[in-house]
Amino acid sequence: MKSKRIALLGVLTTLSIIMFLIESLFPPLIIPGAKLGLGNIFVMLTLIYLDLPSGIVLVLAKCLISAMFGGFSALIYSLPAGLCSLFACYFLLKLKSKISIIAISAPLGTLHNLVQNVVFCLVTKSIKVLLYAPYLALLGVLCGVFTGFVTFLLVNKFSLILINKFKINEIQEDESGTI
Amino acid sequence: MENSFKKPFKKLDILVYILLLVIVVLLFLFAGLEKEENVGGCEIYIDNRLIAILNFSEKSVDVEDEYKNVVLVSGDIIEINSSYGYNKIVVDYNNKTVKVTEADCGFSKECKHMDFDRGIIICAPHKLVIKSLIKSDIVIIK
Repeated sequence: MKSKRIALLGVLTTLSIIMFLIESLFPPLIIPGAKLGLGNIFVMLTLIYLDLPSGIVLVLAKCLISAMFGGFSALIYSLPAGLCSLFACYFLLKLKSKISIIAISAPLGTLHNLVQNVVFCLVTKSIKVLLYAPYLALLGVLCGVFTGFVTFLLVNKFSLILINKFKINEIQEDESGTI
Repeated sequence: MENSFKKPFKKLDILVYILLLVIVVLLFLFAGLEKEENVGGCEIYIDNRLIAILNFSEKSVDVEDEYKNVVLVSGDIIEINSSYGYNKIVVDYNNKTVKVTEADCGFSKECKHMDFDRGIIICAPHKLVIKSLIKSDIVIIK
């Protein structure tokens, strides 16, 4: 069953890279540095259908390959932000019985933007960068809610397709991971 | 798939949203709406090295000698041609503000949308940083 996991991870990673490329074509959303964060959709999907190591692979692969397109200097910003929101998502998902997907996704957007802002501040050694933080945080919440809603729709429709057509529930059951 | 994801809204959601609202409000209180009153000029850095200082009241641009080939000044327009890339900065001496109008960095060109009122403009791929200075700072530099 491991091949199914790898294939699914490959698809999710590719989709998140494509999403990143599409997003970078948009002008900045009102505030510089604020992105729609659609890539977070795939982070959440990976943590829901697969596991944490797969999530780490997704974030690393996405950041590295995106850097090949957009410039390696972007890595100092995208890696910390991506990994922070990945781990935050992992811990928030443990509370999934009490919080809905949308409420899990909202802080992810904020965290991603704020971490990027902090890295900017450290790189330029200038505290003034933090003046953008409140607007980034607010936009992060709004975008997080939006991506959360999309993920919610995907999880509820996608699951049925995955289970019926591709019998992907076998991924969840097979914990030993043998091929 | 598990039933935990079926509902878009659960009771504890409100707690999460309130927490986020508190964070946003706190950030706004600390950082939000200040606009520098005493802007006197600005500094231009590339890769954290100071390459030029602008003085709004004296309408002067002071370029460090070693970087004179990187910075081209023509009237209100400053063009920067570093090894990292090209940026065009337009200075408005009367309104005491600067703006990046052209840049050849990547797709989204975020530097063009940054607001000098926040105190700083950054073009990350070009390691270009423009920081605003208050009037008293300029006097000390001279």
